[in-house]
Amino acid sequence: MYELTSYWMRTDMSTGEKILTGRVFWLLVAACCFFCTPGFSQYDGYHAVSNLDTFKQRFKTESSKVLSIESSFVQDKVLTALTEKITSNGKFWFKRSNKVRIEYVSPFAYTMIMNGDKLLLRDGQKENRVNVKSNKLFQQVNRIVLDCVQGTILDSKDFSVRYFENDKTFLMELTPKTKIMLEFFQTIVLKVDSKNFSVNSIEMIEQTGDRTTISFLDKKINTQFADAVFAL
Amino acid sequence: MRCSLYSFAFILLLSSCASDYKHLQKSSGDVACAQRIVPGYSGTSWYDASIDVTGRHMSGLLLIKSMPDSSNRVVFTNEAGITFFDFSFSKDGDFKIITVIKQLNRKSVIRTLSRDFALVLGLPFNSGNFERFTGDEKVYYGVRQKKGTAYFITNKDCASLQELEWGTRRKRIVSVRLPGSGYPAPDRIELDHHTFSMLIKLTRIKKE
Repeated sequence: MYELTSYWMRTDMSTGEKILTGRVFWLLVAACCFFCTPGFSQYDGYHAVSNLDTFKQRFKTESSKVLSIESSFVQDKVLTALTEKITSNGKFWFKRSNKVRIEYVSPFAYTMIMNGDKLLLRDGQKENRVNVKSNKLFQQVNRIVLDCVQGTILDSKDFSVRYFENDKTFLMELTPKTKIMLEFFQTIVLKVDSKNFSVNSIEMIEQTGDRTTISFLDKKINTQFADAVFAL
Repeated sequence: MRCSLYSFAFILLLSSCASDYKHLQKSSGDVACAQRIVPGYSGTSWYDASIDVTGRHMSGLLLIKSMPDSSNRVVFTNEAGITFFDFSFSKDGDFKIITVIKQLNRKSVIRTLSRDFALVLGLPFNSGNFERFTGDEKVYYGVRQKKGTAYFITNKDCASLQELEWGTRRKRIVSVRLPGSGYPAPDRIELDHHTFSMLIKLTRIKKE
């Protein structure tokens, strides 16, 4: 014998036990179906890319046309559990192929220059030169940055990728496959301008849920600047 | 020739056994001074961190945050935002690792860092059981720990805090200098190790 306690719940009269009604069961089934559908996106305002092969081909073609980028950037690091955020900003340069300079200007000074297999880290007066080949972690980080800006990230075997889009942006959710990357990242979310396929932002989500978002602003694509920017 | 070599070795041995604290004289406590000047960290600060350890250099950002439950968190990230360690210190000194990357997860590294930051936070001094020593125109307030003693050092007239220090009976282990403004949230902190080459310099970041 059951008594309907509410729309969601009924009570077994003999035991007094409260049981979910069949309506709730079917609602849960429907929710599972919806969230497991390939078209579902956990990213607000995005849906799954409709024609993946066309997108991949266009992404490859268009991003290969990007020979250089000069931009400023804003970086937000959020420590979720501590409700702390620190914002930094600086300048970014890229030149095909394999040349990147990331220069933090405020609130601290720090420069990272990647030029082929060589990496220079400069904080204040101190400089640290690293041969990327001899350091697996630097090698992977170097690869991610370059693959993201050069548009070769989709060819990477180090990540599984999910693709989403809205009318202005493509969003790629990269889940690391390698042990070394999994130690640092849960996912990396790359947002790309759907007009010129240049990177708008890179969001790195750590295993703890802490996240760092680098947003690129005032992008100048394929302008001329001296190679001296990448001098090591 | 052999004799002079033995003499030289003997002098070296003697000098290595000499205590860094032998000049200190135990004296009666100045409770008022100790209570007025005892270091204790509070607030939230981000620091630009520069670390030189045995010839290698690294840098990053260090967050020190006092939590509502009176514990403190110390988080170190690199400039690009990747967290290298996150440590929690309770008010009574209990230490807990929230997260640490594999490369730093070594007993000796954790022991050194936890002891260093406990001293920066002023946790050993929470017990208030100070012993007072004088020497070199300075006053040392020491609190005995399981292994060694934590000191905070004032000038002779107790006008200002000069340094913090960890030491064993004979050797200074680490000194904490505060070249800028002092506690509760120092502008600059320098941790200088005496038993091996490690210097950590922290400069407080003025957030925008």
